[in-house]
Amino acid sequence: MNWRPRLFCFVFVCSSLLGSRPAFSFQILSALTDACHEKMTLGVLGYGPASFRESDPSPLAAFYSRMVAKASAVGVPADRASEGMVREMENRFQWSGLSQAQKFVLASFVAGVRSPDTNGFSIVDINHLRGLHIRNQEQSAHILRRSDQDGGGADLEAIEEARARILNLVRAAQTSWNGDASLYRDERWTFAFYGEHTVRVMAAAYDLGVALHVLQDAYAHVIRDDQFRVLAISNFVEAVIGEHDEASDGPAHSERMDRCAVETDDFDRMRVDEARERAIQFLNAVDSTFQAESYDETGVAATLDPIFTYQPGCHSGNAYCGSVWYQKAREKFTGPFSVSCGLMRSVDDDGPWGDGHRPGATAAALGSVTALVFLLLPLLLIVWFRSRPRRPFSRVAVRGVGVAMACGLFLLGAAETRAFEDPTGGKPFFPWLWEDQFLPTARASADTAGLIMIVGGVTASAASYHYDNDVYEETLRDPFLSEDAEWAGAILGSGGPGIAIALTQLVFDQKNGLMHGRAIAFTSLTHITAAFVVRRERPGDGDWLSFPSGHVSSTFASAASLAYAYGPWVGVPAYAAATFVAAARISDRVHWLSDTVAAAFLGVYWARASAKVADMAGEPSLVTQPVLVPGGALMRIGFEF
Amino acid sequence: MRWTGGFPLCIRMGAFGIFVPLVLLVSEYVRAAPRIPFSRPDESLLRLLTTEDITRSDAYWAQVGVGGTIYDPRRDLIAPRFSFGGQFGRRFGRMGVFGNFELDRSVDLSQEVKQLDILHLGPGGEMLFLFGRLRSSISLGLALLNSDTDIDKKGKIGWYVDLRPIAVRWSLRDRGAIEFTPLSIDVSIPVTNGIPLILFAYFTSVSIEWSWMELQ
Repeated sequence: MNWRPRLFCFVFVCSSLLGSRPAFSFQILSALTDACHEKMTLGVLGYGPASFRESDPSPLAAFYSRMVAKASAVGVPADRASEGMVREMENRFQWSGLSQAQKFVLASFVAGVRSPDTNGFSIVDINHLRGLHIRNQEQSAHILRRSDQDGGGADLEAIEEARARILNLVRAAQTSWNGDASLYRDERWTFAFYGEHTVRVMAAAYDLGVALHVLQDAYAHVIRDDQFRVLAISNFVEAVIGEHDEASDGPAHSERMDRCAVETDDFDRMRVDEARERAIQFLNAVDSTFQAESYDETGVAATLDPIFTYQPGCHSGNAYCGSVWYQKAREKFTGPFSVSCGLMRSVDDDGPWGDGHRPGATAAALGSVTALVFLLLPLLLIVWFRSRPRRPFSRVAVRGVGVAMACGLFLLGAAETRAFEDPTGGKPFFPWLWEDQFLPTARASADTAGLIMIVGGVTASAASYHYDNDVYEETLRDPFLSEDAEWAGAILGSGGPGIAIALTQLVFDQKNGLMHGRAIAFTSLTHITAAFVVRRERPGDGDWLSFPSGHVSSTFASAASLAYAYGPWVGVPAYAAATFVAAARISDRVHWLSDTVAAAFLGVYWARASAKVADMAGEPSLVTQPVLVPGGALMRIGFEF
Repeated sequence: MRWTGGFPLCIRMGAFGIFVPLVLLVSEYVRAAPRIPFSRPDESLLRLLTTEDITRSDAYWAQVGVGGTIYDPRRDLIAPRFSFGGQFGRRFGRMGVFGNFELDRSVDLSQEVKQLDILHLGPGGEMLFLFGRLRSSISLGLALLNSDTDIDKKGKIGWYVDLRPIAVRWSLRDRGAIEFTPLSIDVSIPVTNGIPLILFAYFTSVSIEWSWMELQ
């Protein structure tokens, strides 16, 4: 057996989940990225690696000493979690010879500077991080444009929001420092293996760490000229959702600008040095504010002016005035996220995108389709190159004619009634398809009833599997349907009638039409995938797509959908027709018995899931019912779904 | 934290660790079906499925196995874990008891790559059914922290539970068996006080068993 194509599929799907990553500003420490923000922050305070420090001792030594003295006076938190956080950073950044108070203050700064990128969660909690990074209201924490900041003036808006955020953080730090609020505060921290826990941090140091994050990002997310004036602000949200238009949205976020390779790259060194100088000026001004009797942010605001000086007139049309920063950024712009956007977990009640903006769905839907194509393509190629006899033209023609008839009926019905309502309700098609149809059906299928049906289907298929040969031999001796009946069954189960009914329902009974359509779509998708994966040879001459039966699965999906929609008066004949199709396929020797049994379960399984989305399926229940029979009574035990 | 989107946990878990290899495995056997001669069923296939009892009752047995997962369902993140261990036991009819020893290595990618070793040691019970083709077992005992962490020093002792609802078994010559456990539940809590260290995972594992009794 050739495992390589299948292995490729598996690796592709896994890598699409593992390999896609959230974007940062300057990187923070992870298994794959350098600890840029942490090193830059520690460097400002005089404790980072030598290449990130300016001088020894640091110009901020007095400020840092005052913080340490205050922590010593109040007492360093001694709970296990807080001590663990300090110990973790001590080991990581090799703080030797420092007092517990010194380490605690440094740890609070580092926890703060990491928090805009992680919110205290693990760096590999990718779904959470994506949600955090794509929220519009969080863009100013990284000095990035919001998705609704387009065109002229957007850069200045983003700058003002970042300035305001920094000044708010300084105000909060000053408040806790001067005793109006607690000196220490609880924050979230993720420990390796233990997960998220609450730790105590020095609130002022933590808030200033968050402010330093914004300040440092001003040298990663901003296109500047050679005098460090701001030319343009980057855009992250629209870059990752694949809706980025540089002319109106500004330059895309650049992964190249996240790097801080100060020892090997002059451009990175220049940016890091400039960020450090500005951070030292900023923290010195903060120190003065802390020591002043009344709060006055004028000095702090003045230190922000050179960071945010804006030079108008530069745009994508003139390559941002030929800036070297832009040329560097172009080396690796951030692209759209991959398929696992669809698996995103919310981080707050507003949803991951905030303010009702859910543009990621389009990218997610397209990503899923792409993944599916990649998944199916190798399997299709395997089948193709095996050079097995392919499906005779006549059967393809039957299915094609059926579908064409269905489309014709639909168009005829729509034209006749002139009252066809758009089922999307004005929502873009792909988000509607993904969010309102695909995901709810997939979720609805995975409940207890679904699990019971899967177990039942597998058991029944396995049981019938042992009768496959007996039934086949019987059809060889004496086909139990005439040739005409077999053809009738083939046409009835070709998919055409089912699709025709569903499309007609869409016109006259839209809710049930959608339910029917979802059932057919999911059934077909599953049946096709399973057929190409299993590759079971048909009992007579034919291809290797025997298991499960597409005719039977689609007919049972239709029958079950009609039963859910219109009750037993329609359901019973529909199920009878579906059973007839199964019999015809076996008699025609194009399917084994077990193919049809599995297919019947498959169709009913997806029909129930689709009906559940439409609120047409009740809660599953175990039913016990006395049944009177001549001479006594029996107890019927059943499972209703 | 609440879920507002995405597939249920079991689906995601299945997609990661269980579903794909299981489909590949099943497809191999299903595909074999049409190759069965119509009048004379293939003996090796039947032996593989249901006709022969491979329980090997009333005998001692030993097993070594490896398992792994790449997903931590409790924390909902990528967290590889691997286990290597052995079991030694005695079967009485369909039931049996055994001792379990296992080295469990976890990898955390929260910041830099870190590793954590835990030793599992404890007794267990088993039940075989469907001609010895399926096996359920549970083992519980001591979990020993064998690595320093940021919070605890190695040497802490807690407990673990390893529940294997269904394992599929194939006979391997006269004394051997291969056992595939698609999904087992492993709870390991080597540190129970202070900030507890709780590791929870769904493992997929493969074992090889050797019995002191020959297949009849």
